[in-house]
Amino acid sequence: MVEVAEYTPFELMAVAGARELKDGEIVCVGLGLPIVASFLAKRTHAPNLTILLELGVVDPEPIEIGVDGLSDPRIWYRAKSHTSFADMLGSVLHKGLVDVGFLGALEVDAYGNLNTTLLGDPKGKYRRFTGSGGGNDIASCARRTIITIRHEARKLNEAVAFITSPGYLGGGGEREAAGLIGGQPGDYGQSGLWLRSAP
Amino acid sequence: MKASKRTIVITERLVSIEMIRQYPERTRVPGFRVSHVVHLPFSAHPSSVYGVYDFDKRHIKEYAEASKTLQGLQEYLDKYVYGVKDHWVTWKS
Repeated sequence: MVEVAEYTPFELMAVAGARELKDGEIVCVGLGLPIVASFLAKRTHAPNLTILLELGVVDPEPIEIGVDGLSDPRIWYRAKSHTSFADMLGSVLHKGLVDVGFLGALEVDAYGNLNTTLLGDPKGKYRRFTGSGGGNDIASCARRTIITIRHEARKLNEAVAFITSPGYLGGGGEREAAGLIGGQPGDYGQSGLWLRSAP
Repeated sequence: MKASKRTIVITERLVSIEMIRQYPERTRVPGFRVSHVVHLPFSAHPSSVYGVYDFDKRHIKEYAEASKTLQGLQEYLDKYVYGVKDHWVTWKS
């Protein structure tokens, strides 16, 4: 008899995300599940992955995932370099050194634009959230971006309430026209956007 | 280093990755930004490397004297740059 391991949807998402990363790549990682997925990749099939945290941490090797998001020294454990937020966004991301941006989001639209800023309703009421830290710079400058988000109707919308971090903007070459680097469609088809959902 | 396409590092010492990971706040240039590493101790001679070795005062004096004339400079270069087998001959003399 084949035994099937029990897993949660979040664990499945972390595994799916980890498999998108190739060995030797430089990945800039956002808050939440992308961190788990990246470290999973590094400990399994991609030991030469360079993981960058937007606040200026280079290639840490944490033994636990921390309690306070990215600003937790547990996640910086055994880093190769502590630099700064400005250095990471300004002279690493904007120089085009990052292969992969790996982000979570509140909401994502059909063109891969991310919202991590606010959610509103038609009456004009809105609620603010904590984004973006370095999310915009990551999505603007990484050669390709992986978004991991729960597959729920309220999170996957035709249009987002607020574009925090650009995907392909309005489509049809708008990203290129805006002067953003990266966003290479690669093997993800001509739309540039490629959805993979859990079975 | 931040603006260049390639970065070549000349180093006095190669240390283990454990040493780097122990003091990440001291790392000025993370490895993913480096294209080449040259391990060449005393590469700054006759100048100095902070915290490792001092100026070679005698040698610099010799250079200062020699470089007063074109002929002297040529002789200096022949003796220490063009006429030697490698970096180490200069250092030992």
